[in-house]
Amino acid sequence: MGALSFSDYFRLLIDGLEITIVVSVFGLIGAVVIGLTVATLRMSRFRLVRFLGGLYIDFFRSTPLFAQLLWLFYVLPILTGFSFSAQVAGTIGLALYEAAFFAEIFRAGILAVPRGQREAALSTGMTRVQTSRRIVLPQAIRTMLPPGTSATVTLIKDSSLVSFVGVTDLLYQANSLAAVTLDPIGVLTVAALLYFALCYPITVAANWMQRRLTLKTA
Amino acid sequence: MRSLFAYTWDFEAIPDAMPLLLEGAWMTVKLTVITMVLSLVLGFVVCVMRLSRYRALRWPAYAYTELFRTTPLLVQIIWFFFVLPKTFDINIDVFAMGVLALTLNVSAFVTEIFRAGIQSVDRGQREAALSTGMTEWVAMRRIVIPQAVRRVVPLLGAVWISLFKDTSLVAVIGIHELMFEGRELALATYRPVETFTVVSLLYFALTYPQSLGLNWLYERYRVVD
Repeated sequence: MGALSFSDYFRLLIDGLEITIVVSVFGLIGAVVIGLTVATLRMSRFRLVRFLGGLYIDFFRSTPLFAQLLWLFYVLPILTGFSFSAQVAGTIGLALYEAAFFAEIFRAGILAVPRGQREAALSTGMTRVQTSRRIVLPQAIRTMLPPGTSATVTLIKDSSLVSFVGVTDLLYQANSLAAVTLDPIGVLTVAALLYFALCYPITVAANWMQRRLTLKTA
Repeated sequence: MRSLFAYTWDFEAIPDAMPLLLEGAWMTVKLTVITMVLSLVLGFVVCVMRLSRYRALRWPAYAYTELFRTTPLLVQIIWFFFVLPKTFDINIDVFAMGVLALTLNVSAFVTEIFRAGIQSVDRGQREAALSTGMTEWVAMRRIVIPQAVRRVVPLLGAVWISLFKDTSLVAVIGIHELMFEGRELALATYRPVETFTVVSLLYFALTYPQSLGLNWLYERYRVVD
């Protein structure tokens, strides 16, 4: 292996960064959809459905993502009969895990909307679905946005774990380059700075939103 | 679903490996306790810096918390794994390295929790205390901190639980905790499905009671404004 120049390995790290972004974006979409579904189950009128929603949240929040990813990586092919690429399996695992946290954020946001709003909407003749969509959710979003944004930062950081099931994300590239370039510190520092560049703006946005939204409600 | 039941489960290797897994779990507990204690101390020191009047103290504290909160813990762990031996030119024990990486990460979150707790106490409380002639430090100790504690305790509980799970990451630098033992066992037995099922259940059995405890803390320390 010849000596890699800085621009060579920087390009490989950027390739990894792209994968990290793709995995995070799809992971986020999955986590929001599953999270909203689980939050709905958790608040159902039926006890059994509520219990199942609660079980999902408790189980996924009480085991490490690392264990879940490895488990899923081996179980998914058995469960479905198909073989999955590492990237798909990793994204599914990430989405399933973070969904439990999103579900709790959604639930807290919905519960924060005063009961009267919902009752008033129902009494004007709106259906339950209309009430949720037009009255409750738009108000709940305000409460959900700041914690949802920090959960997104957590999701991006957690996406680094998929490198251990073979997804060629930023950390994976950094690890391979660390072995090849004989400059592990340089490579990993650059990788860490790339993660920082990805997450820091979101943190700043979250802080700004938090201040703005609390000011408005106060 | 069909094929999950069609799959022939074979837990035969698990009972023999149980002592090893439990030893791993004990290491997980040790890592969590040691890291948490160190993080409370470091988090307090950094928080004092962060709230200081002097920019020279505030800025490094800010840079530290933001840097460690916006980069993945896994990257931090691997970074220290490479950096520490090179910088100090000695073989540092992996356990110490793992604890150091975890502590620096968790302390950044603890700092922010302390800061949020202190700043959530109404300004008037501190001003009133100062106007009765208390010094800055006495006002902090007798008036502000006791009120901040109510808000801080449940949040620290949440950090504790996420730390408990995050210790699984130091498996990658070779600390023999639960996840490490699980991965070794999966390789040795060629039974990854069964092994990771058991490892996940062990984590659940250890973490879930803590979550219930956390819910209790939230109820108990609920702040009525």
